[in-house]
Formats: sequence, structure tokens, C-alpha cells
Amino acid sequence: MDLKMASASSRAGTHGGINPFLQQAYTMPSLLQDRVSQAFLTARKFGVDLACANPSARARMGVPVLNHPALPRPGSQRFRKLIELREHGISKVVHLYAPPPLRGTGLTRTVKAMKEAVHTSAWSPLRNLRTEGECPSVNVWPDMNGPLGCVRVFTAPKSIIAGRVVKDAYKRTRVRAPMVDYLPSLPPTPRKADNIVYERDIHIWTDGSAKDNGTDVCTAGSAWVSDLQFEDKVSLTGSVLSNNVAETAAVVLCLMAWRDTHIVIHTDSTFVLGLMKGGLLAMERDGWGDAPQHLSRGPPTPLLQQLLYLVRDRTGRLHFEKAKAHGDDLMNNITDRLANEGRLGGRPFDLGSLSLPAGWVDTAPVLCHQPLDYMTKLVIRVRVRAPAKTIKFESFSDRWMVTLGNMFGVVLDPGTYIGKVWDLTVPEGLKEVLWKEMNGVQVLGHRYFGKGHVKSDMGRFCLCEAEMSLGHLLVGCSAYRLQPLMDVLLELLKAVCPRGGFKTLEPDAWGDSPWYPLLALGALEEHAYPMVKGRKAILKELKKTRQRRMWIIGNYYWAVWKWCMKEIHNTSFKFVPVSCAVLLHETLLTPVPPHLLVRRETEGSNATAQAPLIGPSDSAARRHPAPSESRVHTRAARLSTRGERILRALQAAPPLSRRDVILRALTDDAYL
Amino acid sequence: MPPADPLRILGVWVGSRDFAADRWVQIDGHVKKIISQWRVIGASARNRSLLAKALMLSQCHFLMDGNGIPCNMLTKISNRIMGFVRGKFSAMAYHTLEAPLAEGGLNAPSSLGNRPLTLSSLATWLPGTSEYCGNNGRGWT
Repeated sequence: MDLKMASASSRAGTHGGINPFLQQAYTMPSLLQDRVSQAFLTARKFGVDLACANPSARARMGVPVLNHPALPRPGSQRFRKLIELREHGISKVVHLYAPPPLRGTGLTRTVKAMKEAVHTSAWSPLRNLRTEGECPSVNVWPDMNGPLGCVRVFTAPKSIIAGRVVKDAYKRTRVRAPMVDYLPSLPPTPRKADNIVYERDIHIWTDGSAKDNGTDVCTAGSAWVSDLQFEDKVSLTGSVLSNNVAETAAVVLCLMAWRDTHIVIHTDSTFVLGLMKGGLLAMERDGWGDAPQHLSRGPPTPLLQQLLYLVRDRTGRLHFEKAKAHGDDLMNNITDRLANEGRLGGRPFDLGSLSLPAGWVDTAPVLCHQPLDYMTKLVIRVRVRAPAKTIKFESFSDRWMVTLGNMFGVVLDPGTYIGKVWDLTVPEGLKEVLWKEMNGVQVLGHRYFGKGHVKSDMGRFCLCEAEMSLGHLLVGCSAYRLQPLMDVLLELLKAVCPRGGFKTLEPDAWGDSPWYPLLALGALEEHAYPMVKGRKAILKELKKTRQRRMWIIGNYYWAVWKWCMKEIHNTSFKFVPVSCAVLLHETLLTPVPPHLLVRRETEGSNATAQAPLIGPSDSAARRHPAPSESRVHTRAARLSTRGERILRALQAAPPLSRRDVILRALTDDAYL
Repeated sequence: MPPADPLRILGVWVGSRDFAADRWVQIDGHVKKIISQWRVIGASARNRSLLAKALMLSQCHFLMDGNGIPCNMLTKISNRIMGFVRGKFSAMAYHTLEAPLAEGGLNAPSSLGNRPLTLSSLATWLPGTSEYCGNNGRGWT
């Protein structure tokens, strides 16, 4: 590994910033890949100098004889000889090999002994450190030009963090490093090809075969054939299979069989070649999150990790070449035939039984190269407790579930409908009010005005002396009867959907918490509507008018809420429901905003797809497939047209005048 | 160029912590101005959350990618933004605002500076944050 070239920075210029003795470099703007850079940082943290494992020739020749790691240390008798040699001009290792004329007793013998001591260490100048790509302890990735980013740092039989006590080079203190078990276990070997050591490169052709590719009933086989007439074929099991799995497994089998031999693998798989050209390293760097879709389930990710381990564990050369599939390549055709035979009748090879030795492949999840929204979600998921799991919310959930159960005879899962509040076809302000009510933080009472600035007790208590709440406001009381307004609402609902006889069409029967059914209006109608003749057509009709009905009901609640709040905050305003009926009638006639219609259509019937926990359900309705994009647009246009038609019909109806309301009130006792 | 000299890349100053601190004061001023402009309109909670993401945190995230954010500025800006999203009179808990919509929350921008735990988790993926929020996230180093 060329640290000098790798660590070249703009600050250091051409010198590379390397201390030739310490072999340490300032590698901040490094050309190394992230993985290697992190390994360097880890090594530095533990005080391990990676470069000292293979010191360069210049470093080996330039090391001072005093404090040399292979020569006597201070305190020993032989150390005095070193001091004596230094007085004669032998201060570095290079001087041992070209010593000046020595005049003294035993000095020549001492120099000879020192040279032998240096020879037997890793700092021997005569040690033939092979160049990049040939060093057995450093594997260059196949089909790559340079060794940068391709150096396996966790080399040799021990890890860089395996030392018991290492010296922290920066803090000048001794720290105890953790012990890492680094004993690679033998992988399951399918069949040893040969025990003979070959000097030349062995050419091997690999291929995979798959039938019913991409399905659960896919069968696959893998095979390899060498130019030495050795071959192997297997039938793959233990995984979701595909053609790429078979091709990858063929290379894995080949590497298992030819571990210490120089080989050239011919494959017709572009997928495998892509893995070898950096795809595997990229997957490891990104935490194996970029594995292909069909490889991301089950054991195939271990298969990729196994491939990476086998490539790193090799001592022989390894090259990949592209073979033309189903062409003139005779060997590739033979391999293809063998793979087919293996798929049909080869010995089974269980992909789930592959074991990965520790320390060879980084399998830990990583945070780098992840999008920011994923990071944010991760932080929030770990740190934030969801409101749905708080006690406040649980009390609401229980009440909601019990109320709807008593009212409609079905039990719905509250967790499914909590987030739907923002998708309701109701005014935006009402959504926020409902959301706050669900969280138990709806501001009603003296807190709103602040301490000492209470203008009215209307916020805390109603005129009927009941404690104020959202349900109390929307239902009404003896102090202000909402029946005239409710009549207007029912009249408009009947104009939209003439059919009656079901509670979702009668908001006046929704009880003390009238907005509860709004959250799951679709699910309630689909699952709780009685089994009567023509039910499917009725449900279809209800579904068509659901958004319009929801909009009318939401507008009604929002109008009542606003009038009540105005009465609370404005002492000069008096909320008289009878006088507001005309205004309410005009308010409820407003059409549904187009953006709500479009969103509901593109999202589909979100509430209707959820089945109740207890109660009747229409399974046939849920069996319908999701509408296609063009169908959605057509339905949106049709529904929009229908909404306009309903609106025109409503507007054509004679408007409710103030006189009508007062006359009706005079004739009806309920209004008084 | 001497080491640690400030270098401007795509508008972000990299390399000088002192200079970055001054920039964060400017960002805080921008956030304050945006909040004052939008507060008078009376936007709904969802819209306030959207405004916080689009107009305020976008600048913060852009600069955070280049330089780390000082711990005190992180707390200050976060509280300012969350106060805007939450509203003046509200009993809503911060965690309710941050949680996803499907779990009953508002999916509002995370209150990054409220707890040291947030800083430590943030330091895992934002460059330089751990250096600025040293001493276990308790202060400026």
C-alpha cells in the first residue's frame, strides 16, 4: 500500500506528509476510500501504527540504532556497545551495512551481531518487500487498476485491535484495548478441486441456471468447469432463488474449491462482474443496504458477504473475464449445460448453511450515505415516544373504541385511524381542533386567557353550568339548543344522500362525542352496514357521497365551534342558534375544495381498507384490486362532476329564510 | 493555503469554527425574522410545521453540512422554531410535535437542542457537531 501517495494532501504538497520514521501521515484530505480511512482512524485511536507492520526500505535503513525495536534496549549491557558504536559514527541501521573503519575491541563482532538481530526482525533491510499487488498479505481487488481503497487492513492472523495493551500515541497514556476473537472458521467446502500447486493461472468458467426466475417456485443450479477437466455442479436450496443468486453461488463455489491457486474466472453474468468491480465494496460501505431487491431477502445477503470474504481470504491471484453467453464460447456452453444438469439433479447445496468468519466482512449497519430524512426518522424513532403510546392518548383510544363499538357494533383499531385525522374532508381548522382533542390539549377554560386575565367563565363552564368540552360544544345543551342548526344539517345530508336508516347518515344520533365517527366513516359504513338485500349497491352509493357528507358535517362542527369561541372571547356577541341557521345553510353549501378531492382519490379509500377487529365485515369489498392511475383520474373526474351536480341541486332548492326558521321554531316545541 | 484557513465551498464556509459561529448568529436572525413575518398570519399547526421545515431548517441543514453548529446556537434556534410551531398558548408536548403523523404527532422538525441525548445522536451523522458540543453535549469546547 502506498501510503505516501494515498495521504498526499494539498497542505503537504509533494512530500505526502509522511514521517518516514513513524510512518504516520496526515491523511485528512485523503484519496483513501471511507472504509480504509475509518480503519486508519481506528488504528490511530488504539495507538497501532499500521505502516509499521511493513516499514518501507527508507524507514528500515534510516532507523536509529538506539531505541531500535530489534536492538538492545537501554539498561542492558549490550546497549553500552551501541553507545560505543554511535561514537564511532554508527548511528543508523544503514551504517551497520557500510560501517566506517572501526578501532576497538570486539566492535566488528558487535556490528555483526547487531546486523543479525536486525535481519531476524521485520525491520530487516534485506527483507524483500514485494511491491503492491504481489504482497501476499495485501490483496488488490480484481479488475482494479490501483490498490487505493482496495487494501484489506484487517490482514494477517490478528486484528489491529487485538493487542492486549497498546500505547495511545496521542494521549501518551496506556489504555487497555478489548480482545477480539479472530479465529476464522473454515467455510463449508463443496469439493476440493486439487491439492497440486499450479504455477500458471487456471481458467475456470462459472454459470448459473434458474427456472421460473423471480417466483417462489424458482429452482436454480450452479456449476463451474476448469481447463484442467475438474468440474462441479450443485442444486441450490435454502434461499429465495433467482438467476443472479445462481451466478453468484457459482463463483462462491469456485472460490471455495480453488482457494490458493491463481485463477481466472470467466462468467457471463454482468451482475457478478459489477459486484467484483466495486459493487461488493460499496455494499459493505453502505451497510449492505443497497443489495438488489431480489437479493435483499433472507440468506442472499450472507451469500454476498461470503463472496466478499472468499475474495479477501485468497492468497492466489484472481481475475475475472466476461464470457459471451450462448455464443461460440465452448467452455461456457459446457458450463451452461452442467448448470442445467445441476439444477435438475445435482447434489444439494444449502445457501443458508454458509457461515461467515468474524472480522473479515463488516456487517454492521452504517449511518453514512443515508438520506437526511432517514436519519431524522431514525433519531425520532429512537428518542421520541409516540403520542399514541402515552396515557393521554390511550384514554382517548379506549373511549373512541368503546363508543363506536356501542354505537355501531364494530370494534376498530384506533391506531389505524389516528393519523387519518389530517386526511379528513373537513375544514383545516377543525382538523387541528380534533387533533388537539385527541391529544388531550384542547384549550378550553381559563388557561387560554392567562392567569389574572380571565374575561369570562364561558371558557371553563357553560351557561348550563356544565364543564365545557368539545363534545358539549358540538352537541349543545339547555342553554343553547342546536336543534335548528342540526335540522339544517340533516336536511342537506338528505339532499346529498336520500337513503336513511343507518347511523352514519344521522349525525344527531352520534351521542356525546359526535365527531368520533368522522375518523372512520368509511370503515363504519362498509363493515357495520346491515346485511340487507342490495347492500353492495347501497355501499357504492354511500361511498360516492361520503366526501360530500363528511364535508357538510365537518363544516357544521366548525361553524358551531367558531360561534361558541366567538361568544367566549367576545362578550358583546351572543350565540343564538336559531338566528345562525341561514348563515349555516349558506356555509354548508360551499363545495368541497378540489385539493381535498384530488388527494382523497389518489390515496384511495384509506379508511375502507381496514378491517374491524370485531364485527361484521364485507370481505368481498376488500377483495377489489387497487384502481389503476387512469382509473383514478376517471373516477376523480366523475366524482367531481357528481359533486357539482349535487351542489347545483342544492342551490336550486329554495333557501331557508329567516322567516321559515322562526315560523318552524314557533310551531316546534323542541326549538324552545 | 495555510491549514485551517476558511474555505468557501458552495456558499458554506469550511475550516474556520469562529467564522461559522458568526454565520450561525446570522441564521438565527433570519429565523427570527421569518417567524415574525408568519406569526401574524395565524397559520394552522400543519402549515407552521411546513414553514419551519421549508424556510428555517433548510438554511440550518445547509450550513450544518458544512460546519458544525455551536451547542448554544443549536438550542436557541431549536427552541425558537419549536415555539413557533407549538404556538404561544399550548399544552402540547414537544415529543407530540416531533412524532410522525401516523402515531398522532405533527411530524414537525425535531427539537434538536432540547436534550443532550439529541446532541449525542445528532453527532453521529452531522460533521463537527460532536466537536462543538463536547463535554457530553453540555457546552462549547
